Amino acid sequence: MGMLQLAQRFGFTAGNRAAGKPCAYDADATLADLKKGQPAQVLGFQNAGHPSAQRLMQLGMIKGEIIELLRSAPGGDPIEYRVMGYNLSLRKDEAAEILVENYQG
Amino acid sequence: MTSTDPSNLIASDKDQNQQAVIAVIGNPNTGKSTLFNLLTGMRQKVANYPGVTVEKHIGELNIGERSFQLIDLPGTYSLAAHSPDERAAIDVLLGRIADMPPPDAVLVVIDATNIKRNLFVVTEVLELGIPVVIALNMVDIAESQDISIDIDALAARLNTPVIPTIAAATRHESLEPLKMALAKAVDTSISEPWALLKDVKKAAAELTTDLKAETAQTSSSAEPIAAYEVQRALIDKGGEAEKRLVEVFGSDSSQRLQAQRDLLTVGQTLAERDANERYAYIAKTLDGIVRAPADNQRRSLSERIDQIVSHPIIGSLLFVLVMGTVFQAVFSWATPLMDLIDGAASWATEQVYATLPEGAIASLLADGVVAGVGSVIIFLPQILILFAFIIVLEDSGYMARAAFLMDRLMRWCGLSGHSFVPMLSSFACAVPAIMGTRVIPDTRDRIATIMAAPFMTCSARLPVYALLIAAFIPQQHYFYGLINLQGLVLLGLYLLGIVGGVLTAFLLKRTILRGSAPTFLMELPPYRTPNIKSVLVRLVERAKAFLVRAGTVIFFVSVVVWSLAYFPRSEILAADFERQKLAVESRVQVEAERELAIQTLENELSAAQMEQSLLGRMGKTVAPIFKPLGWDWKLSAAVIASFPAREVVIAVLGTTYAVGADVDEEDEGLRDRVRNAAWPDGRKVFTPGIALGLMVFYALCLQCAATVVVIHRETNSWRWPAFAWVYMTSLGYLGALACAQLG
Repeated sequence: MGMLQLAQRFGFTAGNRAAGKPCAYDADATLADLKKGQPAQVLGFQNAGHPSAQRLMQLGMIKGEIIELLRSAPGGDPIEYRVMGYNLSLRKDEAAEILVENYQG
Repeated sequence: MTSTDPSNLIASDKDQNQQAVIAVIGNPNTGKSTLFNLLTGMRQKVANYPGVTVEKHIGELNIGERSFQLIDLPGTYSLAAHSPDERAAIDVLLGRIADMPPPDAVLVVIDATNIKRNLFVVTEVLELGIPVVIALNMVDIAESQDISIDIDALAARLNTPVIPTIAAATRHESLEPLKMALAKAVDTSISEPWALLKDVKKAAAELTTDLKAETAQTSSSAEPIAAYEVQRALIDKGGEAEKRLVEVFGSDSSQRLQAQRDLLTVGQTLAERDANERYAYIAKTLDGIVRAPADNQRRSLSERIDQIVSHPIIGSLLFVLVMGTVFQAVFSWATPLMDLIDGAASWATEQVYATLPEGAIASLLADGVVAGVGSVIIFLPQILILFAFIIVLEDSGYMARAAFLMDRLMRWCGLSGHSFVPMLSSFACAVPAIMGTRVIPDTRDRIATIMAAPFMTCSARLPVYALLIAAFIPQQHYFYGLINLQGLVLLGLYLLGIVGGVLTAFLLKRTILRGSAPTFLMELPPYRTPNIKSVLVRLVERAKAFLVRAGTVIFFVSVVVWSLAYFPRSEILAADFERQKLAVESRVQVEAERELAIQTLENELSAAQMEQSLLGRMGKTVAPIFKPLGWDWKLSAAVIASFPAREVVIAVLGTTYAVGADVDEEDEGLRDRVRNAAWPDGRKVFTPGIALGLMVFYALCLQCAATVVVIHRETNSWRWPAFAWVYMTSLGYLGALACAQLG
């Protein structure tokens, strides 16, 4: 393991987030699949009729909004995202309710 | 037309003498409460909204000659309500709260650094038809991030006054423009409220008219329903507004709502359409008037702090350090102050006995009133220290990071990361910890945390453990002296408390507090410097809330227990004592010996008086219940007397075992008496099993009036404190019963 990988492994580098390169998320990808430095766009909800979906939409999780992963808590859950200019934390199973598509930046 | 329909509010109709009401609303973390505190200062009242656990903050604002009532609503991202707690905001805005008129104006506080999301609730409030003033807060921080906002253009597009305010405002002059705008808004009337989704509003109005007309035919007493509530019921499927509609108009109104929703949207839910159109409107409104650098450049400072603070390793270590400091502070920084209060109470007791003739009045003042007041204010140091930390951690943005880091761990017992700090602080004292559960947004989680917190080993349990461990657990060492049995027992008692609390939260969250899928939607706000004045205002308010609402009850309970232990007094015993005292005085010549003999006589008198007092009789009456635990009447009486506070058990045992009430857990005399206490047939009362049982009882039971009262205050019901008391006392009883079998 090289120094860079080692540094990344322990979270010391921010990753390549500024580039915002389009990357290949699957057609059924959710927010829980998001990778650091690879933003995506919100597509919709698994169940848009659920009260928590309404809450998330009001918090800015609307179609087309760009979202990126900032970091996850020890153990990989919950996860902190950047959306609509602020930081939001979601549990992994909540994130899995939100469908995303590739960011066509 | 009903008077509660907000669109009918016309200022000129109002009684000139009535104080105008201004509601303050906004997203969390916008500095809303800070602004509220700066506007109202110390002129605040805190109460609970009926039936929910949300606090109602009401303050007074003077503008020139006029005085206004300001209501600080809970921070919210939207007016949609999916729980009774979230309904509080809309209830206030529609004038649904008893004794509270609908507001004459609404102040919406928005964060200039995050204007897009903050405008969401603005678009909702504008539809209410109440005059609105927008405080564009933190313009100074926005400026430092090179965000520029054309405020005049924003005000023109929203057709609403927008007043810039700065986060660090400390001087009142800087708030003058805001005050002027509020005074003007109160006198404004709106004839035609603005609406974003006009077809939804129209459908809601029609449905309201239909429903009202139908119920008017069948029943005479129709409850007021505003068209806006029907609009909310349409948008927030399954939410509080729909529930209310079903309550008032019956279950078929739910189907009629769904029929309307289907007419209003195709291919998406109405909630989806509502959110999309609002954000589209906001984007259009902000177009060309907000200039901000690209998002990834703006977030630099807070993000750099988070590189360290939220780092999986460094962040975790820092977290341990911060929590260690909080715990240490509550546990030991408070001790000198508590000793001071304790000392002051002892001094006052002595003064009472020195100045007043011996008798019921002196005893009431000293052992009832002074002890009662003392037992209330003894909590203040811990409450103030813990809250100073909680408020600063919250306002700085760290609390959200702590919850983020701890969420995984706390999920173990069905809670979320928000519960960690209150749980930790309950190791010092459950009272401030339960008051601190306000940081938990989910009501069910909050109640589960409140129920679990009193299990943690608090500082009041330590003297009880210290006495019993020193008296009954042998000084045995294992592993070459590394581990001693006494320490092991203490550790076991700590673990028992933790297991009890965790299991309680776990079971509650799976049974009566079971809710819809747990959520952990939490904003991680940018790091900010807390406003000192606002921190102080809130600290004082916390202390006041405890002293006034909890203090009075604790004081009352202390006086009741005092009178149980004092009355009735036996004249025969007193006369007997006088006779023996005279005999001693004439017989014993050495002064030191004489004093000791008289002291012994006095202690024996107290013990005899206690035995025939109401408390002693109660102890004897309930003794059969505690018999299976191996307790005699003295222990039973001491347990009853220690209902207000566990640590009282030591003083009561001191009295009943005739070593005097002013003993502490280090007292050799009490230790020996307790060790040698025997049943009439000569068997020892305290076998190791029974002593352990007593400790287990005190580990699990809820012998603390302050905790009971604070649970009542924080849950806004007597149901939860009653449940907690019965549940914990039963657990304590069963635990002691199990230990008694050990022999």
